[in-house]
Amino acid sequence: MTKNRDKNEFHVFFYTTNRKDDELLIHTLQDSKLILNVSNSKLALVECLKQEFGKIILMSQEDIHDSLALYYQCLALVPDNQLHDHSLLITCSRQDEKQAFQYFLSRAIDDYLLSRPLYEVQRPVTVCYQQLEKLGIYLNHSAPLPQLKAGQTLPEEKEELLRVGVERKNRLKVEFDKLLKEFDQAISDTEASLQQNEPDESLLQNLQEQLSTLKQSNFRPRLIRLQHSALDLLDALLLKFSPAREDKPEETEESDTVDMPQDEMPLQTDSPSLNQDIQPADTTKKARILLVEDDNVSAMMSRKLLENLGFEVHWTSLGRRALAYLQTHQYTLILMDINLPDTDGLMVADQLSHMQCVNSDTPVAILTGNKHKNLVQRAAKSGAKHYIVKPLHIDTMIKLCQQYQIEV
Amino acid sequence: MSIDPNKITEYVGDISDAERSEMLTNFKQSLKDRQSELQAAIKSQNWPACAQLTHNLKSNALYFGADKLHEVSQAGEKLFLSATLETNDLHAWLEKFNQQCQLVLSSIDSVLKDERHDQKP
Repeated sequence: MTKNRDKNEFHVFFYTTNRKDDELLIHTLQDSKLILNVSNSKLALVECLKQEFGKIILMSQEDIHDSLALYYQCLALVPDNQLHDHSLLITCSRQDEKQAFQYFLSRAIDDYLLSRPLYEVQRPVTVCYQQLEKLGIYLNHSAPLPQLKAGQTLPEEKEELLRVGVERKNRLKVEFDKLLKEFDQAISDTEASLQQNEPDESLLQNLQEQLSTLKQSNFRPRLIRLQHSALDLLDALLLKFSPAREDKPEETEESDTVDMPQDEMPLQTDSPSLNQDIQPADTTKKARILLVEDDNVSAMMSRKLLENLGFEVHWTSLGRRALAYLQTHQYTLILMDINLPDTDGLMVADQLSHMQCVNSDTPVAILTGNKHKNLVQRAAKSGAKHYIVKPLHIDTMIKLCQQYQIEV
Repeated sequence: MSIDPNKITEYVGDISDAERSEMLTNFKQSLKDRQSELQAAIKSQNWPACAQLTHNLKSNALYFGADKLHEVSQAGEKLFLSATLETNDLHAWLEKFNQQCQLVLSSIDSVLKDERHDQKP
C-alpha cells in the first residue's frame, strides 16, 4: 500500500566505510527516485533498524564478512518489539559473488550488488526498487519506452505489441493499487463501525462489493491467492455480522444466503426417492454433521451413508461456505475434503481451531483420497482429529461415532 | 461385469432399489462428464486438472466396485503428477482409461436395464 513518506524517511540506508570507492554507486542511486541516507556510523545503523518505516539497509565494506558482522552486531542490539521491517543488501566484488550468493540462499541477506567494479551501472536501482516493493513501498516509477539506438530498428508490429503490452501491465498495476487502497479504506470504515457496535449495512455492503471486485482480479496470482484466504474469512465474518441476515429464520437463511451451485442439486435432501423408508422412526433431534466435499459422486455417497446412520447432514462444496456454517450451526462432527474449489480444507480446519465459535471443540475428520505422509502431518497440525482415506466406509463412520459416543 | 453394484451397500448401508438406480445413474453421468473433461484437459495440457480428475475417479470407482477403473485412474493420477510425462505413456494410458470407462458405462446400462425389467409387472 502506498503512503506518503515523512521528510525524515529514506528508502536506502547506505553504510559505507569507503565513500570514495562507492561514489559511482551512490550517484547512481541518488539519480533515481530513491532517497538515500549515507553513513558510516554504527549508532546511526542501530537507530535506522528501529525507525518505523520500511527501508533497505545496504552494507558496503571491503570484506563481505565485515559487512555481515557489523549488521548482525547492530541487529542484536535492537529488541524484537523495536525492530522494523527492512531488506538487507551487501556490496561485493566479483570474486566474492559465490559466497554472497550462498549468504543469499541461506537468507542471511536479501540480495547483493556487484559493485567493485560496478559492471551493471543501473542494476542497483532495479534491485532496490524490487526490494522496496517487497516491503510494500511502490515508487511508481514510470518512464516512456526507451528510444532505439542509432542503427537499431524494430518492426512496426513488434513495437506496437511492446507498447500495448507495457501499457496494459501498467494499467492493471494502477487499477490493482487503486483497488487495494479502496479495500483498505472499506476495512477501516467497517472496523470503526463494528467497534462502535453499530454495524452499518451500507459499509458492510461496500466491503462485500470490494471483496468481489478483488476476487475477480487475476493480476498477481500469488498475492491474489493469499488474499483469497483472508477474503474468504472476511466473507464468512460478514455473513455472520451482516444486519440484513440476522433475523431471518434458519430455513430462509439457508436457502437465501447459501447459493447451492446447480451441480449440487442432485443431492438435495428433499428428494423423495432418496429419503423414502430411511427416516428414523422417532422425532428426537438428530446429530448434525457438516460434510465439506466438492466431488458430486463422493458427496452423494457420503451423504447417503451419513443419513442412513441417522445424521442430519449439511453439505457444502465450498470452504468459505463451510466457515460461514461453522459460525452459525453447531455440529457433532465435521467431515472435510482437502481439495476444494475455493480453498484448502486443511486451511479451513486450521482456521476453525483458531476461531471462537460454537464449533471450537467439534472434531474434524479429514476425508481425502490422498494418503501422503506430509498431508497427514499437515492435517494433524491443522487441528484435525482424524484422517480418513476415501471412499468413506460405513464401518469407519460407526467406529468414529462410537469414539465420540454419538448415537446412530 | 466391470462393476459390482453390491459394493454400494457395503459402503453406504442398506438402500432401496430406486436409490441404487439413482446412484448408478448419477455415477454414469459423472463418469461421462469426467471423461470429456479429461479429454479437454489433456488437449490443453492442463496436467494438474488431469491429476485432480483421475484422483476423484479413483475413489468414486470403488463405491461401485469398478476395481479396474480404480486401478487405471490411480495409474493416471500418478502419471499426471510425474515430473516427466512421455507422450507414448500418455496415449497408452488414455486408451486403457477410455476402454475401462466404456466397460463401466455398459455395465451400468446393463444393470439399470435389468432393474427396469424386474420392476415390470
